[in-house]
Amino acid sequence: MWGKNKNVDETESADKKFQKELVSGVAALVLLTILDKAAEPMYGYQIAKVIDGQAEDATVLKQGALYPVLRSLESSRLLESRVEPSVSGPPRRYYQVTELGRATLARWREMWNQMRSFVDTVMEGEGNGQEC
Amino acid sequence: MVKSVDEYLRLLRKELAGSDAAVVQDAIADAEEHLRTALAQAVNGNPNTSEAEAIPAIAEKYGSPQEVAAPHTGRWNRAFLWALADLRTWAVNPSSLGSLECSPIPGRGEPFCISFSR
Repeated sequence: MWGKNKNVDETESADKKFQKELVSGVAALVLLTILDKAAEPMYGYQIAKVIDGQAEDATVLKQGALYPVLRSLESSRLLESRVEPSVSGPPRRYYQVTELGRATLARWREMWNQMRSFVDTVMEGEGNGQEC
Repeated sequence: MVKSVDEYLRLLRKELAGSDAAVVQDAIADAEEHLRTALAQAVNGNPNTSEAEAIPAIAEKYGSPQEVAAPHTGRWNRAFLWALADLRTWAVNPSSLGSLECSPIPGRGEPFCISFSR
């Protein structure tokens, strides 16, 4: 029984690690894309609600994990922000994509498409390397 | 279970103790903005809802103070790698495990554990 539980724990750890790496790898691309599509600057809670509405499993990306990525994108000058007062709470930090961010996003989309195509090809390929 | 925004922020500040002051300030400001906005939305949607009733679900979606602090403190990386090491290495040869070295990622400041040293 202990061995079975150990296997379950190892599987869950491996899954969590893989999920964490996937999410951390694409979070910046997702945030940049959402903000690029937005008609107006958005604050963190608004962005989180957009993700909630589009993700099958919103728990994949904890809302609190969005903010360090937003800050990082801003420090890389891909986003810019301004703080505005709110009538129903603390001041809100509104983010929008910079010109550098748009140019970067165009390259990242291309890289994402290439990566997705590569992974699909590997996963759908038959007998990869087995005939060698 | 967290019952208020203030309690959540207090716990988050505790988790971030020892981190860079600017990181702490940003993390607290982000959490406060998000949690109070979410709370206002929840109360607007259901005026009978109290803060103590609404905050647990809001905090769950935002992430626990430990989860939110982890990218800044590197504790998650350490916890995971130590657990992995514990499963795969320690049982075989306890003396083979040395200390974990963590370095900040240039430009990001997030600790990244790169190797074991003996």
